[in-house]
Parts: sequence; C-alpha cells; structure tokens
Amino acid sequence: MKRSIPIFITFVSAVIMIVFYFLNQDIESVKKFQAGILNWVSIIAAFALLLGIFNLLFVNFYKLRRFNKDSIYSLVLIVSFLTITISGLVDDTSATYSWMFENMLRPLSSTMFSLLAFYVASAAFRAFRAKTKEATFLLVAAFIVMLGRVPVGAMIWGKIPLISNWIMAYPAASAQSAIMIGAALGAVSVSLKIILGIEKTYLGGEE
Amino acid sequence: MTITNDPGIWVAAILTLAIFSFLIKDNPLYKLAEHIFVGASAGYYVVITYHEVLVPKLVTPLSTGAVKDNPYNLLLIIPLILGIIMLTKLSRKHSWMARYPLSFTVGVGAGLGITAVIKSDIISQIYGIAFQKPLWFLVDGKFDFTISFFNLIYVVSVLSSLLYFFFSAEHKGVIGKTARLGIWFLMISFGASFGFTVMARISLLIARVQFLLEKFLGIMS
Repeated sequence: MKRSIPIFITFVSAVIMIVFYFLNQDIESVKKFQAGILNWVSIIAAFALLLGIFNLLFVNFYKLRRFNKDSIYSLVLIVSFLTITISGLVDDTSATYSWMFENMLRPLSSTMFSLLAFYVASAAFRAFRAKTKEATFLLVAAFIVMLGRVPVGAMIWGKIPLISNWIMAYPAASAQSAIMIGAALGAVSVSLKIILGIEKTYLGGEE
Repeated sequence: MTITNDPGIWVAAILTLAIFSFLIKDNPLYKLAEHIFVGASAGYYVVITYHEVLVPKLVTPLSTGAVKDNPYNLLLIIPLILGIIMLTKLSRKHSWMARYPLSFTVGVGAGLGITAVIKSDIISQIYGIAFQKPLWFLVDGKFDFTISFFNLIYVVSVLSSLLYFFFSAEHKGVIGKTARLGIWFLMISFGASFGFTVMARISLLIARVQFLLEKFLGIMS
C-alpha cells in the first residue's frame, strides 16, 4: 500500500497529462485544466521549499544548542534568515527588505559567482594542456571564444570576433543540438520507466 | 579618493571582501559571510514563494469572496492537503506519507516530460536542422557556397555527435570514424561553452572590483 498507491498516482497523473496534451488546446476548459494542474504542482513545490527551510533551521538550531566555536555561524544564518523573511513577508516593498536585498544578498551572490573565475582559471590551466587532438580542439575553441569576447581579441586580429561568433553559431550550436536531442531521448525513456512503475527510486528506499 | 559614508555600501563592501578572503584560505570572516548568504538566500526564496505562489495561487482563490464567485476554487484544498502531507517528511514515522504528493508531482513531470520534451527538444530541433539549414542555400535565386558549406558542417556535426551517443553498434570502421568526428565537434562545443563561462565569471569579477573602486573607495568614478 505504501508503494503501490503512489505508483498508481504517478501513472494516473502522467496519463492525464499526456491525454490532455493531445486534446484540442483551443478549448477553454482544456487550457484551464492544464493550467490548474500546473498550479497544483507549484503549490506542492512551495511546500517542498518549506520542508527544505524547516530542515535548514532544525540543523542550525541543533548546532546552536550544542554550543561550540562554530555555533556563531548558525546563529548568524538564523538571524539573517529571520530578518529577511519577516521583513519580506510583512511587506516585500519595505525598506528593510530592499536594503538587505541590495546591500547583502545581491553583492554576496555576485561575489560568490565571481569567485569562481579564479577556480575556473586554475581548472583551465589543468584542462588546457594540448596532450591529445581532442584537448587541442577544446583549447583552441575556448581560446578563440574568450578572445572574441574582449576588445583585445579584435585588436590582435579583426577577424577573431567573427571566428568566435562562427564557432558559437555552427560547431558549438550543432553539437549542443545533438546533446539536447540525446538528453531529450533519455528524459523520455526515464519518464516512460517512471510511468510504467519500472523506475521507483523517487519513492525512497523504505517499504 | 573619498570613502563612502553610506552604511549599505560599507556592508556590501565588507561582505564582498569577506568572500574574496577565501582566495587566501578558509577563514572565519568568509564563513560568516557564507552563512549570511545561505540564510538570506533561503529567506529570499521563502518571500518570493509566498508572494508569487502561495498568495496568488492558493490564499486569494480560497478566500470567501473568490470561492463564492468560482466554487471550483475549493479544489485547491487538494494541493493544500498534499503540500501539508509533504511536510510529514520531517517525521521519521510518517515520512512515507510524503510519497503521495511526490508521486503526483513526479507523474505530472513525467507526463509533461514525454509530451513537451518530444515537441520542444526533439521535433523542433530536427525541424530546425532539416528546414532551416538547407544544404543547397540560395540567395536571390543563386547558390551560396559559403552558407551551404556551413550548413553542411552543422548537419554533419549533429549526425556525428549523435552517433557518438549511439551504443547499440560497436564503434568500429565507418561508425567508429564518424563517432570520432562527433567527439571533435563535441570538444569544440565544450571548449566554446567553457570559454563563454569563463568570460561571464570574469565580467562578474570586474563588476565587483568596479564596485569596490568606484562606490566604496570613490576611485575611478
């Protein structure tokens, strides 16, 4: 019962979505039904987010209760979470919420991502050693694309930006198309396995 | 050089420097900024979800007036119950109940996965290659060799790259050579994506350094 009913729910909900896809999309009730189901999914996803938040808070409250030298970080996490949440829930146009977003969240997220520039550079140093023909292709393509994106590329040779754009538009885009088709075929086969109850890992390991 | 008096810019600058301090080594200042980031991000997503999902899609349609206007809104009690059941994951004893909302979500995703993915990622891709990349490209009624050649490269690249992912036949002989050509195209694509990502990260880095120099230190403004 604990596994067979969920498998049945998966089957029915998937079949309904497939059947509705093939119905006339101009009929108002068909459109409304599909939009309604997607709304249901987004509502459930919102609760899933809450589940994650509760988990995050439990873990950090637990760390705080143990009280060691790292507890201060958990306290900081909880305080920053509660401040932005409470100010945003009360009024998402409030000064406190906007201030925290502009001066804390935005600089933190962009700095976190910019930090990756250094690690990407060190990874590039290791990856860009033209030991094989394949690695040489990778190196040359990456080098031209990087040069094509900065003014110095055009200063070295005026055609570098053109070659960079050509690489993006032809060999890179075509290989991406192939990857997309391959991944889509994989997604379809996984979806079929889920619908037919062959793939059950999403239910968890317990009976 | 005029250092700003704005406390917001001071906070942003200190947090930026705290994150960059990780480049030297992991340190308490970085950990502090990291935890602020996690807490603030989680809080931000809660606020966004509340204002953009829960209020317009659940709370408002279930309010008394909205239910009177449209009784079908009462059906929203079903995802509400499923959502609450999702929270049973927090209890070890009742966590199995969360399989019901999960199976519904996975089922809808699988149903959409088959139909939408076939349409958008397979049919439209094949359509684009077959009809928008003609091997005999005409400009004003005359054959254009350059674009036709580029389109030929595109088609050969897609087919050879796809063949590389085809494991039902052994990669030997013609299949092996074509698959090898596919690898070369894939490597060019990975290189281009890598270069593109590096440049995007570096532009973010430049923006942060610009912020520190212009807004915080008042240099270069």
